[in-house]
Amino acid sequence: MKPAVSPKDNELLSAHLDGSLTEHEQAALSARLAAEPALAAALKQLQLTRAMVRRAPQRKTPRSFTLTAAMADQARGRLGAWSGFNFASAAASLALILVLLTDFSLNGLPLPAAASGAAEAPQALMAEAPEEADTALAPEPSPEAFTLEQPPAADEGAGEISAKRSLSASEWIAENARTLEALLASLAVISGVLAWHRRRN
Amino acid sequence: MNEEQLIRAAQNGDLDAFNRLVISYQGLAFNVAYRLLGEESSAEDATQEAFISAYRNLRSYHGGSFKAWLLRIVTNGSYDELRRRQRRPQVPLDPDPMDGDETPDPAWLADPGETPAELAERVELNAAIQRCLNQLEDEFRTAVVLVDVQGLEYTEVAEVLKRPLGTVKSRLARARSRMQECLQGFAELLPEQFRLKGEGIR
Repeated sequence: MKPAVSPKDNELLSAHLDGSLTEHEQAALSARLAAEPALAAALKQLQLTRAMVRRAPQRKTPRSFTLTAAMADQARGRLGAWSGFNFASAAASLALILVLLTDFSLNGLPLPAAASGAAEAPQALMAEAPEEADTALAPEPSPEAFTLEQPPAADEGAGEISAKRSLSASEWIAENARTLEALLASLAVISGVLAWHRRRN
Repeated sequence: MNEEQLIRAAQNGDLDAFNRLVISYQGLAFNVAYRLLGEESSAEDATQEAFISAYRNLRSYHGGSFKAWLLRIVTNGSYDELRRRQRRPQVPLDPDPMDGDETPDPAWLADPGETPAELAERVELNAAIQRCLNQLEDEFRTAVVLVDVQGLEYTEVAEVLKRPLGTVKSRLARARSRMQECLQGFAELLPEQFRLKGEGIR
């Protein structure tokens, strides 16, 4: 069974019941109600339906829903976890950008050029520029330090190890850039979905 | 303390202030959840979860109708529960004769001074209304429950549903129309004054 009135008229009648028509709409509808018995009958039925639904009894609350201190602590604990997720989301996004930039520089520019480029800044600041870019990454020890604190050979050795570590890290990133990108992108997406879910609730 | 002061205190971690808000709104929240879910124990869980969620997210409330903000949490929680039910439909151990709908317990409907016949009538009416509500889509049901059962204003419902006012009006009109059609099927069960005569129906 379908109502005799159109959906548009049904909407007008419904709004009329709640007194939410504009003055102009109300005047037009009143004139139509006087002239159209089917519309007036539809209004009466809608009124009956609304009156019936309004008679739906209110159910007494079965218990109190106040929060205990333990429940509040638990809620706060979850908030902490969510804050962590939000932080993780931001950190993952930042890390993803860094990895993409690294990937671009590794694929777009040769690695030694990038490394020597990184070494240019300290060179410009220092009075005596070191001959090799690798040693420039560590601060130049003073002659006194060489004689009083550490033998120069040991310090050079440390510089070499440091350079090797730096290089191997770059190589590792270059080899695993795609995996890292996928991992961080997934983390960013998961964190985003979780943050969205939290906002919804 | 008025509501605004209670909210501010609760936002600063005052649990007692928050619980005073809970006491003010728990009846409304529970009844909305009950009408959306059609079942008491789920409504109880949804209401409790909603208040916990409200406490957790209290800082995200930045003014406007607190009632609408809270009811949005209640309705979203209820929708989640309905979706869970759809994913994992449960077969009742003791299927009831009323087609799986909850059999109304007359005890909670009882009104002092009411005759058994009047009580029976109210029980039937309540069952018919709930069955017809259960047949509506989520947002249509929410519109009817909030406006007709709980008496909220259109603007508050628009805030709860996060929909424009026009959408709320049209959904409510369609929901009322469907309720009318559905309740026609229970004509014999309804009190005389609510029996629809079929005028204007074809």
